[in-house]
Amino acid sequence: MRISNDTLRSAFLAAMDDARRRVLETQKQVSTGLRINTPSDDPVAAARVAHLDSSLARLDQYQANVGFARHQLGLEEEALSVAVGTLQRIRELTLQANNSTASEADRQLIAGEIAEHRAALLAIANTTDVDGRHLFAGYSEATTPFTIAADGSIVYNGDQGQRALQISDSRFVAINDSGAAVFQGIPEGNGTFVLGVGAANTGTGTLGTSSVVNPAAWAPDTYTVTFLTPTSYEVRNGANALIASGTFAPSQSLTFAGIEMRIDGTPAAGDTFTVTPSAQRDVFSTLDRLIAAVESPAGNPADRARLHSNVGQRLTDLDNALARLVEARGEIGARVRALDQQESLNADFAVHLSTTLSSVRDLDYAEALSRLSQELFGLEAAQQAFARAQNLSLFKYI
Amino acid sequence: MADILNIGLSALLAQQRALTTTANNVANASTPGYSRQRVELSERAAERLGVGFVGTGVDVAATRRLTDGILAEQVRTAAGGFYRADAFVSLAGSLDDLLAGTETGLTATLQAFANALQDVANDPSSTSSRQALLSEARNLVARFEAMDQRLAELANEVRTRMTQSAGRITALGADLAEINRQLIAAGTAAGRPGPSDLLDKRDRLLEELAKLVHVTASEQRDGTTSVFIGTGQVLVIGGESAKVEVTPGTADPLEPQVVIRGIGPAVNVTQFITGGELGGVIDFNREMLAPARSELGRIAVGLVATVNAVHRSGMDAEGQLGGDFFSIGAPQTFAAAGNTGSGSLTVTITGVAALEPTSYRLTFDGTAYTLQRVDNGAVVPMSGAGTGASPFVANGISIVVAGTPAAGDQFYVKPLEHAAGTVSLLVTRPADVAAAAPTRTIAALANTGTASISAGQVVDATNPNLLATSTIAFVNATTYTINGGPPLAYTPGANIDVNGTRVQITGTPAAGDQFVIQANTGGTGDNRNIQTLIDRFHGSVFNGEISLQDAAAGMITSVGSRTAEATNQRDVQQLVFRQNQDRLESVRGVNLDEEAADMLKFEQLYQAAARVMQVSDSLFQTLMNTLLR
Repeated sequence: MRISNDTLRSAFLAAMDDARRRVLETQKQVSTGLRINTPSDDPVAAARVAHLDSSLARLDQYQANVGFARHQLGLEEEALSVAVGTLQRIRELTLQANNSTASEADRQLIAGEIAEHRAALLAIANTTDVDGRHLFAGYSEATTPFTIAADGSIVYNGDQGQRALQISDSRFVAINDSGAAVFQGIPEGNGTFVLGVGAANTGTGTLGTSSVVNPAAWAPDTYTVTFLTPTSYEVRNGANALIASGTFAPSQSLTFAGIEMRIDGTPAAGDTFTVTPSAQRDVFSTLDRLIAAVESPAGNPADRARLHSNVGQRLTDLDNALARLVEARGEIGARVRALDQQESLNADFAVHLSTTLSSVRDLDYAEALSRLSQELFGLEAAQQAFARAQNLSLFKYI
Repeated sequence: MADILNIGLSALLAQQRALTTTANNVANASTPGYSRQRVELSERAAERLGVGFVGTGVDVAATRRLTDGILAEQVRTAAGGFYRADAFVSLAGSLDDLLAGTETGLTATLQAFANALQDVANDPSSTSSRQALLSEARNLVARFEAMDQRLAELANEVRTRMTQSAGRITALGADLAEINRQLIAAGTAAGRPGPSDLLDKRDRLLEELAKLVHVTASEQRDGTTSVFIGTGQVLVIGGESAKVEVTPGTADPLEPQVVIRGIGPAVNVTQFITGGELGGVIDFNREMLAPARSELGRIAVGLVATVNAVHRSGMDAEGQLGGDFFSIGAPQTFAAAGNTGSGSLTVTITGVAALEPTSYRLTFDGTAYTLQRVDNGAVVPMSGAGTGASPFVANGISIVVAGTPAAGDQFYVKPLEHAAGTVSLLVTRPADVAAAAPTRTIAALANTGTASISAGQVVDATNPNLLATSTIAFVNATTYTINGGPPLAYTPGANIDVNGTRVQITGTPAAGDQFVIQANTGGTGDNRNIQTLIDRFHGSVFNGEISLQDAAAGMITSVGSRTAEATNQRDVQQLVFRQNQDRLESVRGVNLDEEAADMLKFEQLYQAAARVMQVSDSLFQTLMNTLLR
């Protein structure tokens, strides 16, 4: 084929253009460190990069959420551990007050101290974070959850809301517990029934241990045990129907309606003891009743017997409240463990994603630099060839 | 002797002519479009002498212009293909660049918005996290605006390039017509070529034209060339040329159209334009720009619909029900300029999930309506009757026809193309972010059963009694009533909808247990609604399990692969174009070495001819000397 001079020149120019364009592309890759600079460089990988970037940003957010959740749970944990300590102190004080050696004055002092602790507990239940938001108000963070009503009782103003934070695509963790869940709704007695002692009892009969022996036979009702004589009793239900009767010896357990209750000491004729289905109670009213029991006079054996009975029952209530708080703390511990676990899972996943992202997007410098030098060599060669070819002309020789 | 002299003279003149042509070839070696020329020699008629025939010298038969009409036609076709691909790639590259940059891309901005939602979910009563959400929302709006703006600029560039190409096509057509007139004046005809320079100029103009649009040229009997563009639209016939113009579309005023204006009325030839820069620009507009704008619009519409639906079901920091979070413009619709009826359309988006990234053409044939996608021409089946009570519904849009359309009337529906630029943020106060659910549930403290109630989810925020307090009371472990209504059977975990709130109760309730659904008054620490929003945001928004992020990433893939494909095509077309050019150049281009050799040859021949004349002279002298002695 004939080659015209123009063809020769434009062919060389085209070859140099191509070489220069390749050099430029490689230089751009080297200067950005990225294999993909625009989507068209590798359309599928570009979309993957966008996905991976989003996933990484989302993981970062989950890690931030974990941090926030840990902080909130830490605050709650701290508040609850103070609350548990307070209740344990109250428990010790109660045991002291229940001791027969405690004098009237001692018990008054103890009652006063318990009242102080109750106020402290109220403050704990109203704990706020640095921004003034209440930890135990459910959703109603701005509302003071526990306030004192006109009659001195404590009212809950919050709700039962629980906020969950997302810590992975599918995992959520609760970061608060409402005051209702922590401080309220605590069952009295053993959870099924609670015992009471007649205010006008004259004997020294005191309440001992009690339990449900046959849950199927238990019918929730108020049962009254009345001692007809110190050695015989009868049990009537709320409708005044006779349920059981029998003879009594001290420390004997009475069994009726599926339950068993022991009475120590010697009841007098006409003394009564009651069995009431457990109600739900908040920790403050439990403490109020405890204080009332501790403060009650114990001047004679009958009063002392009543004091022991009542304080014993309130102590069970207190233990229930304590158990609730400990349980709540345990729950927080479990959540924090979940956070730790998820945090390390997230971190592993983030490393994995970053590695993938890097392999998809980042440049292999060694390969790129050797490619660049090869391309530069090619460009140089093309230029030299052009110069040489341009030099060839028959006109030079004529 | 006179013969020898004459023969020598004829040779001398012929070689001189050949040298002149060579000189002209050398002079025009780099003139674009120049076809090399060659002197064709022929023997003079021989003289009959007694012994036979004796030659009488040489004549210059013609100066031939060396070119190849078929190769030239192939070069023009290849040029049309290459310049089409080149224009396409340069515009596609702009679109490609727009989607490059992961930090500024749409996916990154969407993710930043989602993360800001998470921060509000972490700490819903914090004003600063709400403020941050609003600022991310503004970023997102700005991102949509900027991208739409850039796409609109590309649309402008398309229009400008089309107008420029059309102008140059018109000018080239006029020039070609002028050459035709000059050729007629020069008295050319088929087989009797006209002046070389005119023909070279004509070929060059045709090549220029081929860069702009696919061109077909055919030589007529009178030596003129008729020129057709696209799929056969007349540009030049004889001394007449048509005008090519770009005007706003008669059907869709937002889309430019190419019209050709000859002697008669202007005709829309947009769909017949192929090849060249003009064809490339039109193809880019149809194949990439319009779909990209629709897809961006679809993402915007999807985002707005998703966020608004959830936000309206929430409660803000001041206890008010949430309103719309974003606003977005209504779909656009046009009645074609040539419509004779009085019909007009009202178009609304009713099903985001079913939206397709395209515009539509609605045609009325006198009895029935046909809806066609603009991107691929497919007919889309519609339900309904087009009335207010029963609108046409197809692909997530609903269309109501008002007035009386006439047969043949057309309407354009653009539900998405311009949507992205119309997004704006409606929530301006941090307190107005509806992070909480409007209702909450409470289990009565006195409950003795083990049943618990879920936190509740608002399924119908428009229920007038949404915020009223409702009580679910258990008559026994298997039966409950709602607000003292008729007894209902209890299934653990089943949905119970009360005044627009959905709850589930699990576990074993006891007789007398109560659960209350009440207004979430003061519930500033609640994040349920914002959490729902996050779930929906990451969830499937469009049919085929496509989330907003997927759609944004999909846009990157489709634009990227289309650009890569076009770039490959361009490279192939370039190769074809160059090969064809080389083949044509091998026929018509000047090779200086060849010319140098020719020059030497002609110089030698000239010298030889001169020598012949000298010999003739010397023969004459010899004779004279002999005779005069």
